[in-house]
Amino acid sequence: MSTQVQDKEIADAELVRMYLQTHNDSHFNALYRRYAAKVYGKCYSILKDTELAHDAVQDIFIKVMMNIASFGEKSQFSTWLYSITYNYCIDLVRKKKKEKILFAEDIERAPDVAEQEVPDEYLMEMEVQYLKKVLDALPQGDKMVLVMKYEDDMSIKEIADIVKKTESATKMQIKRAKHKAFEIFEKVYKHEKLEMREERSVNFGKA
Amino acid sequence: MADERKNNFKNLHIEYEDNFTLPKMEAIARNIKKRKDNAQTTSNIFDLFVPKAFRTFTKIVGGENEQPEVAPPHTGHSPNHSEPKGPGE
Repeated sequence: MSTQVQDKEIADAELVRMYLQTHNDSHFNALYRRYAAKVYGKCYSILKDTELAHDAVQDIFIKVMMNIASFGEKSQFSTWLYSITYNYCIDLVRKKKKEKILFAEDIERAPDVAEQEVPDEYLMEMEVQYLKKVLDALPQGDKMVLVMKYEDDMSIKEIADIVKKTESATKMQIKRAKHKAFEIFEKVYKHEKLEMREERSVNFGKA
Repeated sequence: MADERKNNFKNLHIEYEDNFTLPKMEAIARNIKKRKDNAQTTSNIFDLFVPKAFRTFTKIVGGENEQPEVAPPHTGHSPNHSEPKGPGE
């Protein structure tokens, strides 16, 4: 990966085409430099382990290199890459935790009428420190679908393809995941947030 | 138009991304290249030696790998007679 390509203006798909035609490592390297940190961020948010996340980045890009000819440009390169990333992490979590059911089968059931739709803004505007805690308290599968939807702006179909569920089951899992996140925040962290605010105002009063 | 909505999922992700240091990024890039080169070498060795090894193996077990020479079909005539004759012959 010695020759560096001035890649700022070159589209991902074009870099893939150039790499396939020339087998010049610099084209692949340009894609790597563009996406390595993003892939790392996703792996770390799921695996919660720096070393595992670094190993994952390496394995994922080797996988990409081996399978790049199968990238059919039906979707964006980033979506294709992220689906490889999520599938890698799903497999790793399953192996590590021996947790076979990440995306629960019961999501195929009819929606629970008691579960109200949590507005997107509720999660998207949650303070980063609480969002981090709430996501970490969620089951892995729920966390992943929320990250795919809100961080990667993936469509329901794209998420469904990755989690290997129907679109309606995926929608239901997202709805339930949002509801679980809402409950975790309301029950666990809302008090903490209020206590911190009170403490601050008391200290401010003392000063 | 770009979505201007506040989205702390993206901000949280940026926080994670920032922990991916440049030296680590470069070290991983080197490992990927190494793995690619190793795979290439293995593939070259495979291409170079496996067909030869296969031929040797089939000879050892008594099979003939090469196509036996096909004898011309026996027509009951001498070779000269099977030649097409020209006009007036």
